[in-house]
Amino acid sequence: MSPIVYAFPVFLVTMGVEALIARRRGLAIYDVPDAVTSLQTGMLSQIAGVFARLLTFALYVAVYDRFAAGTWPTDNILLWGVALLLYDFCYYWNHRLNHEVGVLWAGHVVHHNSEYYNLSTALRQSSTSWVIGWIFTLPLAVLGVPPVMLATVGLIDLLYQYWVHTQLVGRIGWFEKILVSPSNHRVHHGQNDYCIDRNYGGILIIWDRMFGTYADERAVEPVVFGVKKPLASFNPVWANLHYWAELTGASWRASGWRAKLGVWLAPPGGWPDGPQPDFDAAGFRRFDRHTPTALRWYVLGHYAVINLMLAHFLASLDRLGMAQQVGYAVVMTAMMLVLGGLLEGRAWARSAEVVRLLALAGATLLPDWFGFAAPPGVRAALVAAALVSALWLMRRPARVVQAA
Amino acid sequence: MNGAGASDLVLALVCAVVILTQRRARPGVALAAGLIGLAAAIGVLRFSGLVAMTGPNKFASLLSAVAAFPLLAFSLRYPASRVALHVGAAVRPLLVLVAAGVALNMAGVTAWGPALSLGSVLVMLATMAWRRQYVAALGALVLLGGMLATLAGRAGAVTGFNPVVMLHLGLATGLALLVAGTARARTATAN
Repeated sequence: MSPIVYAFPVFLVTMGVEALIARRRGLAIYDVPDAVTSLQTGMLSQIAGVFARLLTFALYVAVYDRFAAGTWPTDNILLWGVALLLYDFCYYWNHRLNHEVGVLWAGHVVHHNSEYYNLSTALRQSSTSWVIGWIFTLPLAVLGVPPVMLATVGLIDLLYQYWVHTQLVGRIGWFEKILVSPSNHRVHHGQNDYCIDRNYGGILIIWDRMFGTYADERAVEPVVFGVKKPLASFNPVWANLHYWAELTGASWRASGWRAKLGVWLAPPGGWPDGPQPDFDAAGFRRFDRHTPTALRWYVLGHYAVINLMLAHFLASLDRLGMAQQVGYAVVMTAMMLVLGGLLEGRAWARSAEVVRLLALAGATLLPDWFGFAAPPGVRAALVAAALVSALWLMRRPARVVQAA
Repeated sequence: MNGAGASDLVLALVCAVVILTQRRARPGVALAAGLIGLAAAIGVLRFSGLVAMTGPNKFASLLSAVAAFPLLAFSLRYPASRVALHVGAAVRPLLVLVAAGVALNMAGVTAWGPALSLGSVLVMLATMAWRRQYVAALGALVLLGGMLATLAGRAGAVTGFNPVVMLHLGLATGLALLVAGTARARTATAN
């Protein structure tokens, strides 16, 4: 079973604690639509990862089998440490090029398009960064790091980065001279001029200090989170695809094959032609569709149901055939699209949500749900929840929110 | 060290000279030479009896075929391009070329590497002939000869020479002539 399934409860509890502390301190660091988008994007990346890993992990294993200099014994703790160090080094370069090359930024931008910064931002992960990202682990395969070691140190590196996505922890002295900390990672997520293309480290920040990409957080200039060209959407699928679409359009419009290819390899936003305008922090406004409070909580509640489905999906992978996996993935993705539409106040979303709820109620009549045979009590509760939700939603005006 | 190791050493030295002399003026060429030189340097270790280096040598050679030669050809075909003139731009196509090359090779399309490097050499040959840069064109011809010798050896033809040594020496001589020939033309144009 995916280790992420075990981490879900920890993520949810810690986000709840963070939100409570922030509320007590009067800090507006959470926004429900933004957080739900982050969480749904994270879920989508887990779903995409199931299929992407079939390719990327197979490629790692194939390179390891054919080209490895040897095999590192897995019973030597020191070698695990070296593998983690090497992985973190490769991660630095992967992350840096994710920010410097358009086609890689297309896969990574999703992690940066939240305009808030909290633990949910850590889970806003990409579904497409694997397209080229896998090549950065190949040096480890050639050096002989076994696939199980790679998977483990990769997970350690990823999980370490969870806790640094918070505004509740300030500066922590000597620690952040060596390791990635909330303070120096806040800089990484900023769109202020001094934050651009800085602090790429995963666990160790020393790579940034070594390669000249380090910047300290400035007390006099608070970090403004997000990207210069905002996503302006709560749609988790669009969050993953918008920059791919932008590059495709730009490439289509470019004349000549070199220009067409060059679009994909240029830095995000293209090669600078001259001095860039300074970032105007005072003029920055966060994306807000003024989603009504009741609807925010409604979406959050239904997100929780999809979260349970994702946990079941990841836990059941061994028992599901490929067609069932794809079918289950499509169902969850469609559900997330509808919830994103509700948060944006899209006219189509209310009808789609009613259809989704009725389909959910209908699904309880099936003998089992992708191998899960729910007890009658659970089925009854699901039907009741779906019908009550549908009734509540139908009593609301068709266009439930106003655009900002 | 056997003949293959010695010829790899020659290739590695030629690449080192190319890197040192071209890194500022033509970083695209230098980066391509760096990848080829890396493969050659690991080859020196491999053919000196370090059997563990067999896999890394083959992998680095694969990277040279699928990425270094196309980069070299592009940098010489478009000497005023960003890729040719800035290392930050030159590294970008390498990412895509490596991803496509390794994925195709692992998927069993093993002809991709030889086809791409052969195609790159033909582009260099045509470019140099068109520009009447005869020393560089001779270099491209020698590269072509070295590659064809390897392919002939791989096909099992009885050619009477060690195709690996021929490849290394062909690459070293061809690269040196290509870089020297085009560098001389650049200097002449500048003057």
